[in-house]
Amino acid sequence: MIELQNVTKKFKKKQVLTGINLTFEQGVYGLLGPNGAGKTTLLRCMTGIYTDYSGRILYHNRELNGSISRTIGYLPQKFDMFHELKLEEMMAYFAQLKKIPKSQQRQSIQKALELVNLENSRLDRVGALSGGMIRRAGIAQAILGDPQIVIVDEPTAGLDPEERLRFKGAIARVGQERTVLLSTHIIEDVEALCDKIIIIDQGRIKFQGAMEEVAALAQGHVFIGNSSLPLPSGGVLVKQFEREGKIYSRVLALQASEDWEEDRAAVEDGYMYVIKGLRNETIST
Amino acid sequence: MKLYLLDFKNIRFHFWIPIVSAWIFIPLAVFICQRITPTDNLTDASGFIQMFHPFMAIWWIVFVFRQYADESGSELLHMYRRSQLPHCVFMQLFFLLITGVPYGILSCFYPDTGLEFLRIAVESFCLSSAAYCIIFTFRSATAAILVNLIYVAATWFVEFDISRMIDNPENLLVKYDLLSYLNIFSIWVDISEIPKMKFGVTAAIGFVFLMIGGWKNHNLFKNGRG
Repeated sequence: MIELQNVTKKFKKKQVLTGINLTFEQGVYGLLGPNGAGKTTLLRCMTGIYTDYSGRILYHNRELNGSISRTIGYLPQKFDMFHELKLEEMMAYFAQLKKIPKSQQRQSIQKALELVNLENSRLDRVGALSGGMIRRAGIAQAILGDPQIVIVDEPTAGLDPEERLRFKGAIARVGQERTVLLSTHIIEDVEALCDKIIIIDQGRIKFQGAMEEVAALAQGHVFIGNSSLPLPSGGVLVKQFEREGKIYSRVLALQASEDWEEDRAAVEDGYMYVIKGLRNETIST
Repeated sequence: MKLYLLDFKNIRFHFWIPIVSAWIFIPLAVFICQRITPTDNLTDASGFIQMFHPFMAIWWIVFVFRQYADESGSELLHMYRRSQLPHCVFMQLFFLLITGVPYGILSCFYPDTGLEFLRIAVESFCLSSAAYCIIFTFRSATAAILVNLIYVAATWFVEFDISRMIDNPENLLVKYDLLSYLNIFSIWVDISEIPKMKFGVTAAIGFVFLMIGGWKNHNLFKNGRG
């Protein structure tokens, strides 16, 4: 179990995280928020990269320190290193860093590569791997040594659809027996992989709960209409899409005219509801 | 040790450049100088060696540590191992070891070879420590190379009296004196004439750079850097 107690972080005078209180049990959690919300900062505090924060971060009731940081697997947003080493050698490098006993390294590396479907590429040079393969290799190094907690930052950014699918498969397998925290701004990834969702904006937690609960927030306030229609008063545009050759708008609003058709709320709508709110104080709490 | 070997493997041919400098350039410099001006000491050759070889001391530091400071994924490496100071010291000692091989052989033929080696060792230590400090202070391998390159080039300016070849050198004399003061090299000076204090000062400067570099390395991600 991971517990964050009133975690606050400043960069010089700028407040980046404010009073973060979270608890993670086993399962796959999605950390969702717009760019600049504080997601990466929060992850770096949890992995011990940033140590100058106030509050506490506890792993099974113990404070984060050097030895515990090795029980956390982490894949940062940018992971593109050791181009001249073979994949197997890069994994051996991280096994050494994680102080995995030599007698267990080979087996641990084999298991990790199999989980992400890279066992056939172990003798390939890292620089010759595709972007998606490098990201999967990043997951493999994160799960070396069988950590109980795996933290992944922006896992599918920059990947093509096929690679994203493979990567999601790898994450799903990893999440079966561990606590996985997935930080992303791509709602489709969260919907596909996560059991629970945390929404962060401007350094504060805006929502935490099950996927169904976040969608339920927006139920009754989602409307679809022709893109040429003016937005309902106080409404927020969620997205535009094409259907049968026509462009439609999907909006979030307290109410809308008869030109708009009410639709069932999805996670995306709930997310927009939390981030953007609606212009009525009794609703946007 | 396995980590160090993998780091060396990752920099490919860059690993061999300091070794080529030590095992090919140094003997070649001695051979050529002896053919031009036969002498029973290394002073002339030492001048040429100091022009290039201490600069090679930064090579491994820059190409290994750019991954830790300058490239994507550096935060992951920092998470597992905050300080690269032991690694830096290892590379400095390894450089001195490979440099010691040709000097060990030369000691069979020339006197004061030990002091000549010490001169190169102290200068190499100072430059490599400066590179370590710069790369983790500015998170730039390019800056580490450029600053050292400019410094070494400036010392050539002093040592080869280039300023005196320029018309109206008086305006440059102040800068010339400053460069002389800051110059850690003693390219054409016989080893017995160098005040021992200079070695100590150069080594102390190198040590200060090493400590600052270690501190910057340890706090690489403090205050939101990266």
